[in-house]
Amino acid sequence: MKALERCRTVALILAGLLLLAGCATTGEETAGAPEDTGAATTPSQEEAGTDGAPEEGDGAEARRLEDGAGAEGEALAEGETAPGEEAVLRPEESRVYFAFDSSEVQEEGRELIQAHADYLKANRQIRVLLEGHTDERGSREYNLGLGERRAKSVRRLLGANGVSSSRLEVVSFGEERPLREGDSEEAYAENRRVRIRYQGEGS
Amino acid sequence: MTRSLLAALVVLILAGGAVRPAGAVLSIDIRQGVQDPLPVALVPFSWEGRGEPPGPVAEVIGADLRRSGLFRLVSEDAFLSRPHVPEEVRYKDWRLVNADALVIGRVRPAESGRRVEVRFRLYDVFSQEQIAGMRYTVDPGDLRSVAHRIANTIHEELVGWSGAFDTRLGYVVKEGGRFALMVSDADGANPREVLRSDQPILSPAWSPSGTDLAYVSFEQGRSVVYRHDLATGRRSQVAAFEGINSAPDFAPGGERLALSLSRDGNPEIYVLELDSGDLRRITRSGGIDTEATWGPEGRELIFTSDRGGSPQLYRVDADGGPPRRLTFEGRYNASPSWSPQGEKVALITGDGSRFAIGVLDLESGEIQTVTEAGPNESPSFAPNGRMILYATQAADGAGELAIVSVDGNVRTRLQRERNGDIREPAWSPE
Repeated sequence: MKALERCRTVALILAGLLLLAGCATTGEETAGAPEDTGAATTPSQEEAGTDGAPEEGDGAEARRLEDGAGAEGEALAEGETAPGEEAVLRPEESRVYFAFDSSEVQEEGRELIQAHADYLKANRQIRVLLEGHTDERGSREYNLGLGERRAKSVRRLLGANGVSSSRLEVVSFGEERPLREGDSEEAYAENRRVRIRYQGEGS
Repeated sequence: MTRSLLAALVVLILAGGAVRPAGAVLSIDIRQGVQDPLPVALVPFSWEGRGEPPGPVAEVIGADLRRSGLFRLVSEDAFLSRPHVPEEVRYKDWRLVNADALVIGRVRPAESGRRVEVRFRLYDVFSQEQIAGMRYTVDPGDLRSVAHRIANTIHEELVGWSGAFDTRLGYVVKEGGRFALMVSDADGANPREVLRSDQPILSPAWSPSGTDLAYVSFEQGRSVVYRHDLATGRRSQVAAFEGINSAPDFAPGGERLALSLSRDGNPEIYVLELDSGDLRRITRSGGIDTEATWGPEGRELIFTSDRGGSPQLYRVDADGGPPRRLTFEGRYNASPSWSPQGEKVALITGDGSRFAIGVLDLESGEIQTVTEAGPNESPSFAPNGRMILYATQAADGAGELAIVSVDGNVRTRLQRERNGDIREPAWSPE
C-alpha cells in the first residue's frame, strides 16, 4: 500500500498546484458528466447510463472522491523530482478488485483509480486499456458481460475524476484469463479484477 | 495453416477409424447406467476378405451400446454359438444366456473397388423375429460411421429413440496456456483440431447442417465471433463490433445467428441474417443479456439476463417484443440449451458458486436437477433430446466433459487422455 499512499500524496500536491494554476482542470471533462457512451468512436446516447452497474450515479461517485482527496498527505520522499506534471508517479498497483458477482468499486479501488486518474491527467498523451475479469464460477458468457461491467465501472470513475473517455478503452476477458488458477476463495478474489493497462505495457 | 489442417484431416480419413491419433483422444466411460439394462448379445462380425479386417465394427457398436447405459452386453465367453448369417441363428442358445436381443453381422469386400460391404441383423430372442437388418457398402474409412449408424438402429428399435452415436462433439482444449477448438466423433474418436490459438476460444455452436461452427475467439485481443467451414477450413468474421461479440447460436435452417453484442453499451441479444448482414436487436435492458438459444421452430429465443438483479432465463419472440421470465427459484439460472424437440431446456442452476445441471420443463415451468451441485457448466443437448453434454471438473480440478441423461439415470464421463482442460462442449446435430 506504500505505492498507493505515495500516489495519494502526489495527487494532493498536484491538486494544490492545479488550484494555484487557476482552473487548469477545465480542459478535461467535468467530473460527473455522462461518459458512458459505449466506445470512444461510436457514442450511443440512447444507451448512456444504462450499462454497467446502475446502482451508482456518476455525480455521487465524483463527490465522494473529492471528499477523500484531501484526507491525508505526506511529504514527498527524498529524491523525488521537482514538483510539476512529471512528478506524478504512475501507481504501482494496476488492479482494482471486486466482490463476488459485483461490479461496484470498493473504497480501496476508488483511491487507486483516483491515483491513476491523477497520473493520466498529468500525462495526457497516454491511453489506457481497462481489462475486466471475473472468477471462474458460473457461465462463461455471463462472466464476459460481468467483466465488461467492471471495466466500465472503472472507466466511469476515471471519467468522474476528469479523464477523457476517449483515452480509455474497455475490453472484457470474462473468466478466460485468471491471474491465479485454483478453486480457493483467495484465487477467486484475485481473479475478480480490472487491470488498468497503460499503452505499450505488456502483461 | 488452413492447408495443413486440411492435410491433417485427409491423413486422418485415410488412416481409417481404427487408428486413434495419440494424444488428443477422449476416453469415455460409463459411470452410472439404468437399474435393469437390457441384455444384448453382440456376436463379433466376421471378416470374409483377405488379411486383416479393415476396421472394427462390432467393437464400435458394443462400445456405443454400453455407453448409452441402457444395455448390458452378454459376455462373449458365455456364447454357445457364433452365428454370422440368419441360417446359423439358434434362438435357444440366446435364451439360455439370458439375452433379450441378438446382433449378428459380417463384413466383406464389395464386388467392385476397395469398398466393403457390411450386413447386420437384429433379433428379438423371445419372439424369435428379426427386428432390423441393413446392408451398407462403404469406403473402409467410413466403417466407424457405419458402426455408429448400426448402433443407432439397434438403440432405436430396442428403446424407441436414436442413440445419437453417429454425431460429433465440438469442444475447447486448454493446455499450457494454449487453446484448441476440437471436433471429434461422439465417442471421442477421430479428433481433429479446427483452430489453435494462444488466446481463449469459447462458445462453439454448430450450424444445423453440421458443416460449420460459429465460435468466439480472442485472437484479436478481444471477443470476435467467427464462422468456420469445417470441410474447407475457411472462416469469416461475423461479428467484430465495438465491445463484446459473443454467444453465437444458429437458428434452425442456418440462415440466422443469434448473438450477444455490447455495441450499444451493454450486452443485448441480436439476430444476424448471415447472407445480408442485417442485424436486428431483440432485447433492451440495462442488464447483461446473453446465451440465446433458439427454439426448434426458429421463432423464439431463450436467453440469460440479469435484468432482474440476478442471472435468470427469459423467453422472447425472435421478432422482438417483451421477454417473459422463465426461472424464479435459485439465485443463478443460466446457460440455456433448448432441446431440439422443444419441450425442455437444459441449464445450470445454483447459488452462483456451485451449479447443478437442471432440466426446465417449459410446460410446467419446473426445474429438475439431474446432477449434484458442483463446478458444472455449459450444458448442450444431444440431437435426440435424451442426453445432455456438459463441462465439469475431475477430482484433480482438470476440466472434463460429462453426459447425463435427461432423467438423470445415466452418466458418462469424457476424459482427456492427456493433461489439460477440456471445456465448452457442443453436441452436433444428427
